[in-house]
Amino acid sequence: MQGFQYHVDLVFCIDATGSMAPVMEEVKSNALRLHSEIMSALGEKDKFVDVMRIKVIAFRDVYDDSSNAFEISDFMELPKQAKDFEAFVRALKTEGGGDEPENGLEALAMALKSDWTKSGTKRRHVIAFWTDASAHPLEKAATAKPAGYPGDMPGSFNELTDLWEGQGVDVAAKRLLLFAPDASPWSQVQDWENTAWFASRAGSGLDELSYKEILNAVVNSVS
Amino acid sequence: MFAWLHKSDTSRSAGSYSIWAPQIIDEAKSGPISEDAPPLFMSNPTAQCFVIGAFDGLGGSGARVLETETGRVTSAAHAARLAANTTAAVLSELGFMRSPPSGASPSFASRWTGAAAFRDILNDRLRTDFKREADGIEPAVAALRGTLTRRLPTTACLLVVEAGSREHRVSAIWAGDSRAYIWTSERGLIQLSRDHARVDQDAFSSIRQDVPMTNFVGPDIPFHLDLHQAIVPTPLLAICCSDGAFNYFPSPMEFEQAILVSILESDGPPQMTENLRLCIRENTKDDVTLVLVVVNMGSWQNLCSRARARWEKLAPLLAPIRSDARRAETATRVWLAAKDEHEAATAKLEEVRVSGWDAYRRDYESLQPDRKVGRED
Repeated sequence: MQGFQYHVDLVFCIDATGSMAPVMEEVKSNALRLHSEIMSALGEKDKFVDVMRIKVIAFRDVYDDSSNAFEISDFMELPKQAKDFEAFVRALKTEGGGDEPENGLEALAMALKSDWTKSGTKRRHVIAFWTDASAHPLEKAATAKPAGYPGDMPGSFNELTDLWEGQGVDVAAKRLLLFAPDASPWSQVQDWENTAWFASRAGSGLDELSYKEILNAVVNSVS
Repeated sequence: MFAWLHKSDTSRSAGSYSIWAPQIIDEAKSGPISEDAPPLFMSNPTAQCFVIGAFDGLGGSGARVLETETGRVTSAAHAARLAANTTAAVLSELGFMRSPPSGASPSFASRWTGAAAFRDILNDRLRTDFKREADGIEPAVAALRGTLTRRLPTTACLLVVEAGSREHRVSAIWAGDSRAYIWTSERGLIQLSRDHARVDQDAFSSIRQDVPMTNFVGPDIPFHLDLHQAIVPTPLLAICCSDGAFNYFPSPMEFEQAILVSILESDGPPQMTENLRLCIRENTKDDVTLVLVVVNMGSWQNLCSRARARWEKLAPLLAPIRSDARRAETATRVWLAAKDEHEAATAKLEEVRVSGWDAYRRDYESLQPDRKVGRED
């Protein structure tokens, strides 16, 4: 009988401000292994990913320094472009950002607006998001939009929520894995559909048990 | 007497009622312990009614591993078993297994509490039992939170079948996407439940779109058990199953085809069940529970002849699908072989170019000045 084709897109949003320095190597290491572990865990369940693509959005604070607030890759197909992906992640440097908050919500909006795959009979669109800081409200740009502020951003948290609830992503495919502190707006984002939130503390990373639990949550939700 | 006849197979003057022993498929795919509970079957031959059930722990949101009295299990697996146990306990407490008063004819009204009241009572009991159990073994606020992780999440789906004087009453009671079906030779497979999903979609679309569930049993969500009843003619097959049974066939028609073929290529219920199990296992990527009860069918020959009659109706619909599926499979094989060949040829070409350059460069570079390492000028 004709089987299904599994297509998985992963977008990694990584806070690359200075305060992430103590955990950046761990974040990079988790990012670099997450895709292969998702694939092998799915394989153990007899579910083989036909196409996996990955994209990285590194963000800082455009209100502090507009010159390098966002670093964005294209989607890279794995394993074909694994070296490009690794090179992009390894080149990320923690710098700037000033005091929190940062531009996490803008990065999340960019991730939501990604050119997600529409092919395959079974799809997953997964955003993995790492930050140690609160986020600027999206409304702030209405009064003071600095140079370098990305275009076509939602004007409020509600508009961003609408994007997640169906206007921007495939409701069946979407998954959000959030590694963020118990601070605004992340404690509200946890109520979004298909979202797992690991409430991190500044300076400390993700323990192995929680990492496995998140991995299982993603893998087991691919039916 | 055939071994597969239910030991309490019986008929009463008020109407015909006979069932065969339940046919059960219970396959673990997610790990050593299935996240589906073993299927439920409770039968009261004197009162001429039975109930079957499927409970599918949600492995995505219930991935957390718990320490329980019986060992380490996922929250999903524990939830499914808790729902099954609570359901069986409530059925017993409500007198589902009690014999009707002596001399009373079995009618819907003279039996137990009835399906609607049972649904209400079970709804409350599941809420209470899940809250108590969750608070005992799973922290309400964990490091990992959000809607993708839930405490003790599971589906529950029951099908109550009660004999009437001429027809039978079937009551589907469910929360989530496990399903209750009946099958008759006249109309084939009929889904009685409707999946609780974020987008109301038909059974064909839902195979391709894993839309999030909006309603399932758990301690932290205001779930509700839905109820749908119908009066149906017999003979029939009553089926309850988790999504692992039906969701990996490319269409609902092909799920019915698997059931029909399993009947037509067998000499009795045990072989039928084994055939169906193998067919589902070949396709599925999930744990599977399925319970099937044959009602008022009389003989195996009768079931076969009804399955054949239905197959004759279904075959013209399935023939072009089968033909195009074969074409697509052949094309996929050719494409994959060509893709591998393309990748191998491209890699080989690059390798040959590099080794050619290595052989060529000695003369080519023979009069070039030495390379000045680290300098641009």
